[in-house]
Amino acid sequence: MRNAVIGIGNLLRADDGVGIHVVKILKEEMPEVDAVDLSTANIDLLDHIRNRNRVIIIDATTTGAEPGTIHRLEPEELVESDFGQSHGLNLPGILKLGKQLYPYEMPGKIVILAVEAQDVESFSSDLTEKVQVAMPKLIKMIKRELE
Amino acid sequence: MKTVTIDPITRLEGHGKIAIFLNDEGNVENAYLQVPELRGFERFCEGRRAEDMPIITPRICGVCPVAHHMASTKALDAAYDVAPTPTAKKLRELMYSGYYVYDHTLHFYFLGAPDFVVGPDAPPTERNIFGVLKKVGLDVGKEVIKHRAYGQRVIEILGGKATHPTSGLPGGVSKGLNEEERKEIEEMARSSIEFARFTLRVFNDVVLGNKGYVDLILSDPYQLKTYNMGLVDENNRVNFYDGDIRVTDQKGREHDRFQAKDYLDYISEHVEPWTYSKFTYLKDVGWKGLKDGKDSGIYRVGPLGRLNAAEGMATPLADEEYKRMYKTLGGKPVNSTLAFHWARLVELLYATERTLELATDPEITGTGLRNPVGKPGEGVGVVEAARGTLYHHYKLDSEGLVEKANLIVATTNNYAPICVSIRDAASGLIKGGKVSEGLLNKVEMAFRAYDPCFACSTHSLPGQMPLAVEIYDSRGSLYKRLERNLS
Repeated sequence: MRNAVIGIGNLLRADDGVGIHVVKILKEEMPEVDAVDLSTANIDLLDHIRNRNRVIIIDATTTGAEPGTIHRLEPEELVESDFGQSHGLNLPGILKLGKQLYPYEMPGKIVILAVEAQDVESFSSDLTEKVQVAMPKLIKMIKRELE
Repeated sequence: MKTVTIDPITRLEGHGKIAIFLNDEGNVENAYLQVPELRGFERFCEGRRAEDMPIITPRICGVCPVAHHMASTKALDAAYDVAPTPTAKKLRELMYSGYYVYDHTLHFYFLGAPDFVVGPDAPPTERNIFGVLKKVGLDVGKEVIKHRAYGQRVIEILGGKATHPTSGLPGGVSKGLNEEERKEIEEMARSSIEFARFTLRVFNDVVLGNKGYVDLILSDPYQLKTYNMGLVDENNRVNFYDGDIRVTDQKGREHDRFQAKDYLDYISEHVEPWTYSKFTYLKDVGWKGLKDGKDSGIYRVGPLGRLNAAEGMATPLADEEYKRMYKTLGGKPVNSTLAFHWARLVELLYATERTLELATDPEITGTGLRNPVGKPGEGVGVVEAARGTLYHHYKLDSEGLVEKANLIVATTNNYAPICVSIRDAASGLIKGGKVSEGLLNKVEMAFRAYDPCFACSTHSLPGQMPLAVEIYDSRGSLYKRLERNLS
């Protein structure tokens, strides 16, 4: 089974697009991996994590840490919501649904690498410098997760 | 004056806040919904190459990128004064039908059904897809996932990419359809028709079979007598991809009928100081504030708006369902906000039938995919996004660069009616400053029927939208707070 790296984020909202930027690079650098530009963490995520060995999800976040900081999370650390409000499910919800519907097709390992963003408001398709600088480290971390 | 605020906050951005204002007696006076602002996006487009617009604009939002791609492509057709070839037009519409199968399926099972299949008074922890699956079974869940994926697959085959298609070009499309792909789509369409019929049976049994739900649909707080807007074909049948924009009045009579290029002659925008988003209204009727009735220019778009603005569906099974809906709910137009859910399923059936029609059209595998373009100029493209009428308007310079862009998105069209619906739903539940238990649920049901797009230009990880109700006293200090999912 193949591994997948899934980029979540809005390419037009500066650092919010970090996951999409990294997917573009991985498509060149790691052809053996399914690099997916998904944009929104909605139910479509299920199509891309089923029947995969390992899955790495890349997203931006704003926790107040230094921009460019990379947070490593596992799904169990995320909070399950009531699923009732948004246009889809959140990640724990999608995984729960996946386990209910396709118990034998879920990946063995899922890791979320969330990059601390500086700017997720401006309409820009460029990353800020601090996030740009973190890209090589991010790619190194992805490769290590997939080793 | 007290203020009740229902505030869905994503982890990244705090868009989409609902505020309910009470008068001195503690009854509801007004309700406002702040929708995501697109301010700055138009400027972001300026100076870009026109042909990049169908690639850039779908990135505004992860919920309806295909609609933006299509409106943008059609705006370029107009700006370059070129019509797509017959095959290209059908390929575009085929892709667009796939988008509807995907979107409407998702909305019903994940967002609409929890309120009805699980029940409007069920606790929020059960009013979700898992509650729905408990009632209808895991096998149905698999069918939902499968047919929603079929819609995505149609988009992928025709658009080159599932989430963000890239095939639209002024004058046509960049990718044709081979026989193998055509056959795959035909098979998916046949299965999807049966799935849509099944879904309507679920709605019939669970919702219409329950007198309490029917009474709720027909109850006063969920009635709104506005104008209705939608695209229609030459026979006044609903069309998602093309046609004239038809507006009908509170009695169902034709009020306006116009082409996309003339939209500014019929629609105006009103600005309020408390929100970034504008309100659209019918120019000849005028802006009379947040109220319904024939003297107020507000109108509704989206599934119910479209069905009300048309005289039927262009495919046989969907047309039967169309007639049944109006017969059951007391004739045209239907003004019940909760009927949006039923209208959405009638449209789902139409989308599946239309997918099959187009997939079996002899022209669909044709090779004439693009007409030569004219000189760059100005153009308006309109489509029916799943959530309602979507306008893209570009002005290009002589080099084909974007000089000016104006977008009116579905939720902007529905903005005023959503506010009124929230107010009416809240009015029955807040009396003398006393907030009833079911407030969050009932107010949510009012705005969820429209499926307003909070996701526009925002997303979050993990993607939850917590709710908070804040009640302020007349001096503006916090009096009461109800919340869930806030960490």
